[in-house]
Amino acid sequence: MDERRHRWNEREDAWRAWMVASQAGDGAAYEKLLLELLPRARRQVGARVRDAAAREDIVQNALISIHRARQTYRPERPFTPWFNAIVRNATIDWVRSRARQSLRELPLDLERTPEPAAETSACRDGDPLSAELENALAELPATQRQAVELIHLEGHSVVEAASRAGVSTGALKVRAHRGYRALRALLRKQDD
Amino acid sequence: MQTGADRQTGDDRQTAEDRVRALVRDLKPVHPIPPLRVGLASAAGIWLGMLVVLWLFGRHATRPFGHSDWSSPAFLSVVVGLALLALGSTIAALASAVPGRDRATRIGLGVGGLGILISLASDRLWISLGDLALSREELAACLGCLSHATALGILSALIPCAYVSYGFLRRPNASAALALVGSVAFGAIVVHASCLAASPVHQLVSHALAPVIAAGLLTLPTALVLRFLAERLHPDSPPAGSSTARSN
Repeated sequence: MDERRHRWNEREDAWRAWMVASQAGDGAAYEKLLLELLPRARRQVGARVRDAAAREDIVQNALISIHRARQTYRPERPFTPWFNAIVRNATIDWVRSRARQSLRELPLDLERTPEPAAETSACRDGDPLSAELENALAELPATQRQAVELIHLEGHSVVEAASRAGVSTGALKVRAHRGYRALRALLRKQDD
Repeated sequence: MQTGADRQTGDDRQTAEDRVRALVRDLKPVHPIPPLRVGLASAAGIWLGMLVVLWLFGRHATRPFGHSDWSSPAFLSVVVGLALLALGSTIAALASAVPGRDRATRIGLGVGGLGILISLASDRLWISLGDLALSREELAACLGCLSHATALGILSALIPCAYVSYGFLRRPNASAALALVGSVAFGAIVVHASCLAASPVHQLVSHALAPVIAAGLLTLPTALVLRFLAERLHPDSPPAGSSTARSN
C-alpha cells in the first residue's frame, strides 16, 4: 500500500515539475507530460463514453483544453485534480454539444419522409426511381440535388458525402435539408 | 484565432499523439494565474479604494454610524445579505476560471445564495410587499439607485473580469453573470448605505435586487468583453466556446 502511495506521489511530483517547466516554455517536458497523461485521459473518458471515436474526440478536446488552460495551474496545488477537472469538463462539454447537435439534426431526420426512403431502398436494389421523383429531382438546384443523391440515394454518410462534394459537413447538411424541403414541395405539387 | 493544433478538418483525422506534437509546437511560455485569494484581495482592494474615494468626494454621504438605521435589522439584513452576495459571487466568478476549483465555486455560490436570501428576507421588505405601486418620482429614484449601483459595480468588476479572462474561460456567460452580480452587489451596498429613501419597494427593487437586475441586463455584453479580453490575453487560444476538436 505504501509502495503504491509512494509511486503515486512520485508520479504526481513528476507531472507537477513537467507542468511548471511547460509553463516556462519547455517543449520536451510538455510533450513528456501530455504523452504520459494520454492513457489516463483515455481511461477516464472511457469510463463514461463507450464509442471509441467519440472517446478519441474527447481526449483530443481535453488536450487542447489543457493547452489553453495551462496558465491556470498553480505549482503549489496538486496536479491531478486540475487535470481530472479538465478531462471531466471536456467530457461534459462533448456530451452537451452532441445533445445540441442531435436536436439540430432532428428536422433533417424528419425530412426523411417515407416516400423518398422507400425510393431509396428501391434504388439500392437496382430498381429505377419513380418518374415523379426523377422529375422532382431534376428540378432541384444542382448543389441540392447532389446532396440529396449522395446521402439519400447513394447511402453515403454525411462525412463521406461532404468529402465527395468538396464542402464542409455543415454546408452539406444545409444543402440536403433545403433539397428535401424543395423535393417534398415539388412532390406535393405533382400529387395535387 | 486558431492554434496550429486546431487547423484540422474532418477529413484528415489525426491521432491524439499527433495532436500532442502539434500542441508542443504551439507552446509558448505563460505566467501562472495568481492564486484565488490574490484575485479576491485585489477585488476587495478596489472596493475599499472606491469606498474611500466615495467617502471623501462622493456627492451623497453615507449614513453616519450613529444613524438609527444602522441598528435596524431590516436595514442591516440588506447590507449583510449584499455583502455575502458580493463575496460569494466574486469567489465563484474567480474560481470558475480555474479548473479543479469546483469546491470554491460551490462555496461561493452557496455564500452568494445565502446572501441573496438574507437580503430579500428582511422583515420590513416582506411585510410591505403588498404596496407595490410606484409613483413616477419613486420610479425615477429606483432607476437612479439602480444605475448608481450598476456604475459602481462595473468599475469594480474590472479585476474579476481581468482574472477570469486570463484564466480558462469555459462558460463566458456564467462567469460574466457571477462577476457582475458580485460587483453590483458591492455597488448596491454603497447605494443602500447612502440612499435615504424609506420605501420598502424601492429598497427591494433598486438595492436588494440591483445585482440580479444588472446581471440580467449586462451579462451578454460582459461575456462578449470577456471573450475579447481572453483572445487578447491568449494569442494562441481559439475563442472561448468554439469547437476545438475536429468534427465528425
